[in-house]
Amino acid sequence: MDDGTIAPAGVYVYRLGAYVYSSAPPDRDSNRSDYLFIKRAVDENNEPILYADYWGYDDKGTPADEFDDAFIYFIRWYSLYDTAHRNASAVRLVLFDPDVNPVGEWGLEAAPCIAHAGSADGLVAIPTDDDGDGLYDEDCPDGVDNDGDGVQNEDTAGAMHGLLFHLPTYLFSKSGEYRFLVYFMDEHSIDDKAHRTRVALGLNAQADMLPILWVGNDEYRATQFQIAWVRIPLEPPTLT
Amino acid sequence: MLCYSNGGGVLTALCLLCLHDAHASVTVYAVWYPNGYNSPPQVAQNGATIGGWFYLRLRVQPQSGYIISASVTQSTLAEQTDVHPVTPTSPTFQSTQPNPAYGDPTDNVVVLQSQQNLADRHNGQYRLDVTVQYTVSTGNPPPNDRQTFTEVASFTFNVLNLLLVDSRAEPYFVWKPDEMTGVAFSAQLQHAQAGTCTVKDIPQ
Repeated sequence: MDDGTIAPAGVYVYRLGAYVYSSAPPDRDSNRSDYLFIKRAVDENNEPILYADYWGYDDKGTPADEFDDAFIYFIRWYSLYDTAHRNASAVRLVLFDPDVNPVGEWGLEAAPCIAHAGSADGLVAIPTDDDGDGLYDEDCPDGVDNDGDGVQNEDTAGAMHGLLFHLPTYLFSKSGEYRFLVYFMDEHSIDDKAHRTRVALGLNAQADMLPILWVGNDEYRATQFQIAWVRIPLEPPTLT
Repeated sequence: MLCYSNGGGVLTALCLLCLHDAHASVTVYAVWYPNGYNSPPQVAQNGATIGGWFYLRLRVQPQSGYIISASVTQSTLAEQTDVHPVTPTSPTFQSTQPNPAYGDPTDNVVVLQSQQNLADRHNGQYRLDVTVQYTVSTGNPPPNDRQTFTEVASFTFNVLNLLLVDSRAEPYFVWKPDEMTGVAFSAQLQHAQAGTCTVKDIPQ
């Protein structure tokens, strides 16, 4: 890394950018969306949600028998924001085992969102009217207080979601930390120079965050990258 | 040459002949910089692939008479695609000096050009349709000393501006410092222009 240290093992997201400065005006291209951004969701106290909510086990009605457990349920919180107010076109979840090997990938388009009464609306990226003035996105993207209300970027939080999804228990056969990578595809093929739908970069570089959730056998913690994780309980609760 | 359409059979025939002659007098081509803006521009003919800034040029050269003026009365530049709705633009053309290096004659010609930059638009095929109105001096005594013609011309070209194609299918990479010495990134850069491109890799 820049300070000479070796980056820790893990899953990293990245953006490749190409720039031609000799042209007038300069030309550029990137392998990541210029429109769609994933933001960390905030709770009722406006604090970032750094963890995934463990929801429970599908133990098939036999909580004493762990061998027939079918699924583990999680809730992944996030906010989607699109500078042109378009929804995402797809969302994918990749699970990595403790050896950082991908063990599966799934689409979450049909996953219910507990933030919106179970609607499968996890791709919605319409910003919310945070300041309640009936206007959306009034100071974005220039960060200037264009409407003169003294607040900057007031409606850039995007649409917050909490997707409930489940994964088979057999995928968690190893002990250690499991990583969940969630990524979204934008819906800007008509805007892209090559008619592409591009992957949104997970979270912005300034915040130095990753859209990765960890599942571990340790206490709650956040790493230097603010990677959230969730603990699998030794005594799985019964879903009601 | 008299070209008034007065209903007379002979004059009508002359007029058609005149229009036929005039139809071959407008040539459309492009001028672009295949090796960057510090290198000489080159002419691109119909069907060529170009990128970056370029000029669309109309060479108006009458087959007979001496040209007095020429202007574009209508122009449409549109992407040729069925993938999405197309919103054509209307390029504005202005008179400029003929350039022999581009194949322009130096006498009895009017050259009109429009500067274009499609970097913020799609790569793909585009078609320019223009209606050119030009006036020539016939050499006849007034009031038949001038004749105005209208001609339609088109030009099709392909645009290829900077495009980065990541070789990695996954939008992430795995880093295992105990097993790996580094992470390789590769991408294909596509551009009609030759030149130097800066590529940045920004891990998050």
